[in-house]
Amino acid sequence: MALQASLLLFVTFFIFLAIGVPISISIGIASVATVFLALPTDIIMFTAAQKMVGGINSFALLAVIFFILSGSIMNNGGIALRLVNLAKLLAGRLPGSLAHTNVVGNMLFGSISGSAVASAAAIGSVMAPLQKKEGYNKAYSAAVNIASSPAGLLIPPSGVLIIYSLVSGGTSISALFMAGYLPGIMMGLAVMIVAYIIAKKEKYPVSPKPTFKEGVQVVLQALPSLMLIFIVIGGIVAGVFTATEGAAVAVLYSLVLSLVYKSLTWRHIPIIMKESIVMTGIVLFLVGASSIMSWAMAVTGIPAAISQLILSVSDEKVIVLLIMMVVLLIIGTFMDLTPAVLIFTPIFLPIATQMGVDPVHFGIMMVFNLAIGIMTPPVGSALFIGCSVGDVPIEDVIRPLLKMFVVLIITLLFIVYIPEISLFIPKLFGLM
Amino acid sequence: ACGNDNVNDENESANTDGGNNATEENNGNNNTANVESESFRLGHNLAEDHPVHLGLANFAEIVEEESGGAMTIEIFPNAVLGDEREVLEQVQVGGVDMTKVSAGALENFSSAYSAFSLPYVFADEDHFFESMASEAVQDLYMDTEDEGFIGLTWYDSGARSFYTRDTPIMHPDDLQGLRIRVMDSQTQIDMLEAMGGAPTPMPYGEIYTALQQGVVDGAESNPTALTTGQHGEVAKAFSFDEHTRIPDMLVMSSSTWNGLSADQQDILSDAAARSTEYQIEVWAEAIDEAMEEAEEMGVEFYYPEQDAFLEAVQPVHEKYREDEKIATLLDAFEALR
Amino acid sequence: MVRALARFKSTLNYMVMIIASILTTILVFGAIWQVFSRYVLGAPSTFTEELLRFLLIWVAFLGATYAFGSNQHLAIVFLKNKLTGKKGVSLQIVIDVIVIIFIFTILVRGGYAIVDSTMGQLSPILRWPMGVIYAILPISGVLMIFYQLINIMERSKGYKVEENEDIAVLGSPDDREV
Ligand code: NA
Ligand code: NA
Repeated sequence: MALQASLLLFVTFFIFLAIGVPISISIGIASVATVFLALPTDIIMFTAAQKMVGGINSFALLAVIFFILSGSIMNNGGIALRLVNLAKLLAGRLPGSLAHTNVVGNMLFGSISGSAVASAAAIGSVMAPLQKKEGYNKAYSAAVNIASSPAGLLIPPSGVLIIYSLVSGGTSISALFMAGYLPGIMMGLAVMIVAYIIAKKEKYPVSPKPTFKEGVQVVLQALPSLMLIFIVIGGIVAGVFTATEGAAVAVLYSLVLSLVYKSLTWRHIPIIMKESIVMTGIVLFLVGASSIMSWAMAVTGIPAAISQLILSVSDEKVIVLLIMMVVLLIIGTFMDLTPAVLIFTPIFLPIATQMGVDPVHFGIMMVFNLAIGIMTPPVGSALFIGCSVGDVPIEDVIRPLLKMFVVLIITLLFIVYIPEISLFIPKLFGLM
Repeated sequence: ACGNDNVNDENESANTDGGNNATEENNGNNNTANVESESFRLGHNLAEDHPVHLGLANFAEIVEEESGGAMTIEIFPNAVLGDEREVLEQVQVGGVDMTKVSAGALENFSSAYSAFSLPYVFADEDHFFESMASEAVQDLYMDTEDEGFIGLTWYDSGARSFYTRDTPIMHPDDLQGLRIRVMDSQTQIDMLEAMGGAPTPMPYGEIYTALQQGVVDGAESNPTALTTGQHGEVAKAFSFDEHTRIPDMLVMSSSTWNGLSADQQDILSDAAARSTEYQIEVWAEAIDEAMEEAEEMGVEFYYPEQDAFLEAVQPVHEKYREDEKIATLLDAFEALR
Repeated sequence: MVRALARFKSTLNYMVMIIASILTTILVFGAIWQVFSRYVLGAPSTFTEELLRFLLIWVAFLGATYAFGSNQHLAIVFLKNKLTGKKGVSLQIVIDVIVIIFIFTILVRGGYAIVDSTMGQLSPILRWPMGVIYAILPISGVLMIFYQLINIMERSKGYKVEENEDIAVLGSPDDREV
């Protein structure tokens, strides 16, 4: 039954997905159709409804709405500009300095907001006019912005790592957060390498060296925004609060900060609320639908069947991981990060752990992989936003982006095959 | 939820090398009843090496054997069908036929089950075993029929005690000001408040980090939490105050049960009782192993006197005795002391 | 007619958001209270963990409801964008109907069944009937169907269902309409 069920599940899912039915509903319908093989109708309706709530009924998921809220509060001109100035100070002496500034800006902003899309939008829109002024190629600039925007999904705090923690059966959020640092930084560095080579070729200018006084001023201005990271991560490590509670502290801090900066006034609050609630609704409705899917798969024995299928190709860890990574890269071309994590974690993780892969490590490689997907056509949220703020057609950015994909995929291979890149820091902090 | 993320404390699996060898006494006894065939789904939230899972697997084996293969039970472990509460809800409507559920979780479905979660209602293990075999508990099994489920048997889940990062709990005073993680249950909160500690409900998965970072000072469970939950890496003082003995219950959907013939029902009841005897032994082995392993991790064991704890929780008993069903059970246990 | 619907929809939007915003505010301050009570007062709050979980469920379903009204749920729009004119509208209406069928069977009917079955079960700490928590399923289900029906009517009359401004595309806050 399991193979038949797998086929039914995925074929139904992809048909509904392809005609444009919302992903959450496609997941739900495919799952329900699959359980029909095993259970009577009234039981399916009852349990599917139960799962929609059960999937969301988790304290850890509160962090999702909290990080969306704080990201949305932070996501305004004031903070992005301060962080761009700091990024310029850090990376401005390299050839093509504005490209490097963009990358570092994404890493800083993304680490706070935890959203690739928000980061590409906020940093990209600050950078675009500057780059235009200095004669940078638009498509190149947009590609740099797009390719570095997901760094903040790995550099903590990160909402998607919390969701992974949940679907993976309670992998430590603190360990995942610490594990994301190096891979997130590597993602940024990978883009900087490509940017460096192109800048040399195109002879892009180097920013003038700032004076010491200017430098101090820039750091001081950026400090309050950076404090958010110290407060949240520091509070978690020091045991003042759990990761989930830390996310609520981030909301309060970013709210107070934005009001003090006057980059936000009270009349903006309802809009931020609405945006965050809708975003949360979309994400958590997906989480709920995915838990119908996990149940449907469990009842019909799908994970075991897929595991057998993969292991029949090879039982070499190196090969199995490679297969999974290729599948995820393909999935990532058309599917967003969160639904892909929700759907593929329950299928792939048991196989990976069976081969001795640490769940923390697996989460990082999965998010890194799927982060590449959000910059690829046909469907890529970071791609769309980056092109829109960079005012450049999608066709034009593909060429410069391709070079970055190559380097990012090589980086991914390093992350997949050298677990210590991910696990070194959490081990250092005694988190695993 | 999508994984076993919100499973309760009881998801602490314990390693045993006992295996499934309990049916050896019955080999050769082939006068199986000629019953109608029936297949059942049993879901629970434990890992497959947990002693209670071994008990359930033993139950399934005996049922199959005694029915001559006519009755089969498919077990879904690891919370794949849902956490305890969710699967019990599915049992109520007949979507799942049976489940294992902590008596602590049952108190939300039927108040009488709170009796098992109260501190020091059982003097020791023998008293606990005798009480669980009593008429009062047998009556309780059928008492929830209208709620959609009935009890079949119980499994040993050991005695729960306090463990902290470094403070031995020799007296309730030692709990003063300590943040102790408790299960999501009003009885557990009441108990801890009565003893003077600060009860902190928290998902099971967060305990390790919370202990390590000092978000909580301690938690309470049986020694398998130290090993399979790895809490022994961060909590070094385990004090056997043995405040509760909350059994796991094997329950069955009323609608499934009522659709069975008397022969089928007998086979299930007998098998359930026999699997309990087996499971008690497996559990004892698991605890011994866990303690040995925890000692190697550097955990120190302490053995406090229970009198002061018992005295401290008297108001809790009084509060819950207001419920007639709880009082009846407590009196029945008391009579066996 | 369409104008009356539009007014009805915006009233509904407003109510959904007011309730969800109040609950979200409780989420933030409840979590901070949990830290404060434990770390500063030394008397950990015992009800917040459960309360916040339940409220999050409600916020999530209200947010998802709103997202159906504004057509914001994530979807692969490749084919949809390829089809223009009448064909595109027809496809969109087919999708809307598929959504309604799912919502009706699972959220409304399944949701009603589970509410009915769990009214006697109490939550562990707050002692609320679990049916009350599950009630958001049929409630949001009915609202989602409302929204989908309005969307179908608007689309069939050639109106474009307003897709709200992308959540993350924001320049300075002053650019936003209030
Ligand atoms: Na981040
Ligand atoms: Na893509």
